[in-house]
Amino acid sequence: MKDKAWFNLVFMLICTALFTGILSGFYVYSRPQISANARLNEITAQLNALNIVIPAGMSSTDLELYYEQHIVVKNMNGFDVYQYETNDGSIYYAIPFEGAGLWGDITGIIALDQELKTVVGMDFVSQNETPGLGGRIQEDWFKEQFRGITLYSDGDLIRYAAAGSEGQVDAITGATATSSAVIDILNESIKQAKTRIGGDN
Amino acid sequence: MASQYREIAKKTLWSDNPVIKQILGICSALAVTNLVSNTLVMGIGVALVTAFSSLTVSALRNIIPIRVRMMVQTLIIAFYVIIVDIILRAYYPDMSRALGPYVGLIITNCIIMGRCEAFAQANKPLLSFYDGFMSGMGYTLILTIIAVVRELMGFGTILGFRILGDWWTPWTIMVMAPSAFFVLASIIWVANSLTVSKEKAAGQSISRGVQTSGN
Repeated sequence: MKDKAWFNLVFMLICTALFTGILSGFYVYSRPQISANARLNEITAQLNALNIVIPAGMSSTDLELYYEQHIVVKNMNGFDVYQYETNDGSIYYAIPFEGAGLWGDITGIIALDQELKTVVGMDFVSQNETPGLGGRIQEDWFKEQFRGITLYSDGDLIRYAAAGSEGQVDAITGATATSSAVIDILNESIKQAKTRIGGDN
Repeated sequence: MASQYREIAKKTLWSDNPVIKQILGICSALAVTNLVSNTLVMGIGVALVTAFSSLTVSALRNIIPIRVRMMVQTLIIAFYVIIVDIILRAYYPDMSRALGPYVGLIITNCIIMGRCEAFAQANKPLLSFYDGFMSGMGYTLILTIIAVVRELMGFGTILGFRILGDWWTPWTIMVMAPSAFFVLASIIWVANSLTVSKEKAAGQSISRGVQTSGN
């Protein structure tokens, strides 16, 4: 019986059904945890970008509440923007960005002031750049450079400082491809945001 | 019985080490070894997947039809790799982000299939589990050595702790994948020289089999 083709087929079908069945069960069981992690990662990035200090030792439920106290989702011309209004009435926008890095997509949040002229801050949600080279975009020193910079009014809105030319931020040495990918994605996203949000100002 | 276990440990960790003697698992040896922490997680992942795949293959060895055994092995390996991936994503999100697509690629690691075919197919479940786990440890051992060299020279740190002072200029090449070739080749060189001189000392004729490479 074991040599018969039908037996091989049936055996394979049963095996596949069994293993994928267990796997699906396990996946469904852990899905809430996985999406909670992704959500946590995303809201932390938004709060960081908007320069809202996250109190230490917050549980994920507390953080979710804290986030909702500060941020309102606004749909502007079919485009989701996360709005933060301070006590004195100033408004800031957190805008998601996405684009191709060196190895994979880079996604993140950039926060701008209401006039879309100043960057409040930015943070990455996901990136797959080379650890230790392009991956250093995830380090604080790189991200913190973007705090409070004034955008150029024409051409590239954000520029790297280089010998003989002025700019607002430093690129990462040895990671030219990632550095230029990041700046291109940011510039493109801010320009898009300008046309979309600027539309109703 | 105990000697059998000791024999397996000796083989997988040194004399028949999957990385330096069988030249298996080279892809991931290049990919994940620029930081020691990533390497350790990857190593544990590979060891667990190899151990449980071998256990399952061995337990089912008398039922699996010989013609479809490789398909079943691949299925079993894929099953455990996805479980490791889900566990990392659910409970160790930072590690999952650091390893990115490499976890999914454990599946292509020839060591796992190699142990299933060469050992688990013909041995009892518990022994196969042990053999799989120790093969994973042999892999981890070599990768950790590579990672220590690469992280130390590439960043001046080990496991994120600064070892070399500010005077050290990090070698960018050590962060990039090709440097793993240099380090790995050096390790193989040293290991083979040691084996050869030992054989010479014992007065035995040196016979070296053709090494198969994979991955």
